[in-house]
Amino acid sequence: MTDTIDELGPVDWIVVEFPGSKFNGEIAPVLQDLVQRGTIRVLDLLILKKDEDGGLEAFELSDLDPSELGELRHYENKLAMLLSEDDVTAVAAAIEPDSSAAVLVWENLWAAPFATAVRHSGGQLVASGRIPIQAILAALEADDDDEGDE
Amino acid sequence: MGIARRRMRRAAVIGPAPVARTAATVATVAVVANGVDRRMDRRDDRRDRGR
Repeated sequence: MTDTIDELGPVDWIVVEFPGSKFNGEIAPVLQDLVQRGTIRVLDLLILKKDEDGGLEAFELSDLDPSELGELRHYENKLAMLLSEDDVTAVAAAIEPDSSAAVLVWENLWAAPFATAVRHSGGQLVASGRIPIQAILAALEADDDDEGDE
Repeated sequence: MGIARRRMRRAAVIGPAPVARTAATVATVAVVANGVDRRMDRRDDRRDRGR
């Protein structure tokens, strides 16, 4: 288990919303490309549907019609099922009524060898994070303002 | 329909606090373009200063 953890890359998640419940699995080829290149490993994938009144239904891939899933069916038997019932409830809060959404959890395989090398060389990760696009925009705009003052 | 029974026993990895919507990320392309332009601008600035 230690070896497994040692080689585990950072794990991220996203919720992708499709207004009007127009989810159709068209994201599958790009996702599959990332998997085949060894960039990521898909750990979990759930489909949520929220009706006009805000009622929520969650679906495992095996629950959905193949025409809705496309090539996403490929992952049906390969998921670690990391997400819990509480997670589903939590992410559902972000979804608009009359929409469907895919909740995707993946491991960044590309980062695992680097992280392993860091650990083996005596280093340790002490901080990490994601910079919101809004923060980058604000920083760039502030920089522009400063340059305008010069 | 519904989620698998295994998920009922799982500890939350994202929740339980409700997840807030992320602001639209349509600005990504703009940021990249802005960054490229800025680098070129700065390169030009440095070149100009060197003259």
